[in-house]
Amino acid sequence: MALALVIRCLPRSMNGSIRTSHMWSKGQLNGSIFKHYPAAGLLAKDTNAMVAVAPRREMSDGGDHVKLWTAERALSVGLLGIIPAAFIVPSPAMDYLLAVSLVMHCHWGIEASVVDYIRPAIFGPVIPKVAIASLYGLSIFALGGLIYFSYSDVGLVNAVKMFWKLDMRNILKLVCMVLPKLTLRVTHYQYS
Amino acid sequence: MSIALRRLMACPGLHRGAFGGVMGSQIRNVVLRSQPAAVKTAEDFFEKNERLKRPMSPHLTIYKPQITSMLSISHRITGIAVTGYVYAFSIGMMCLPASFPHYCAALATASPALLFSAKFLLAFPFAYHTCNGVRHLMWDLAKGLEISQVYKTGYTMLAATTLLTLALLFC
Ligand code: HEM
Repeated sequence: MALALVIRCLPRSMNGSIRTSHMWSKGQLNGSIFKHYPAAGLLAKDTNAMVAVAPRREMSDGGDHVKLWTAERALSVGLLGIIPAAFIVPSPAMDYLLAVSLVMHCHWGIEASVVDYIRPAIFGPVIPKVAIASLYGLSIFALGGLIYFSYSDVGLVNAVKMFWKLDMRNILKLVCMVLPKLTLRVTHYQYS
Repeated sequence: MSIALRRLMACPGLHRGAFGGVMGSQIRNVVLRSQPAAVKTAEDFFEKNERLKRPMSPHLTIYKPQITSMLSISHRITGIAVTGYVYAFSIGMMCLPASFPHYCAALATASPALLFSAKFLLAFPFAYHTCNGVRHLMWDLAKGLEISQVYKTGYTMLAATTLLTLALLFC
């Protein structure tokens, strides 16, 4: 009964406090009776464990989910500084830093989403693993591409700046072109 | 135990109740065997739903859309959208033969309305995700978790997103 309670309590506490992604991707859950709740497996061995300690034990079970979670947040805070800095003081070094931190943040974010939606309960045991593996491939490829772009082309920051400038000029043109016509039309309606 | 049961069967009142008196006063021997109770193996939430052919429960569609849940899913959607831009740009530029300035020059001939739309589609999700990201980080420090504060920061975030989008587009 206590165990049943623990099992019921787990999904919420797991969702609320930690990312489950890295347990799936490390395959710790596979082949276990408790494939959905690895912590329940731990608790089955130690039925005296209290409900409250379940998420903690979960996190400390192989792989450091606390550190990973903290690193994810630290990187998010870092992005708040790195993105503006890369545009204010552009340099190849800032471009590389931006590329690495951006792709890492994106990868972690997509990985969490893949784990949430491409679940073994729906897709079976193989597809979720293939999805995570493909995401790793994609992210590595994207990071390589950004670094190559910084090395052999204008770099991410410059590319955005070039595109933005181009856009501005055209928007001004648009405003210059459209505004007189609009005013003309409005005055036309007013006087007809 | 079996004796007790036989006595029970012999009780006339019970007989008539159970067999309508047809069996009369026959006495049957009942043998009880003890068997281990069928122990149900621990079935978890997902396995139970699978057995009952139940969809994910409770399903999202039973909820009324609320500002809280809408802002929440938008964070994920905008994050995935901006990731799509970054990855597509990176991989796209690796696949294209010429370098960026060439394509940028080609884009200069596109219609201003198209370029403005493109710029908006880049700026808005980024602004939204960044502003709401700050809100997320605040929650991660266990701040602003009261429902009234969640609403308040939600509206503040939307205002900040609007300002940041406009600044990115026009400043
Ligand atoms: C400075 C700007 C940014 C901040 C402060 C920020 C912050 C965050 C935070 C805190 C999360 C975790 C949300 C959660 O706990 O569920 C997150 C998720 C995510 N971020 Fe960002 N982010 C920023 C920029 C970006 C950029 C530029 C991209 C893409 C290129 C991106 C892509 C994602 C994705 C895909 C997710 C996963 C969405 C989810 O799990 O629901 N973020 N972001």
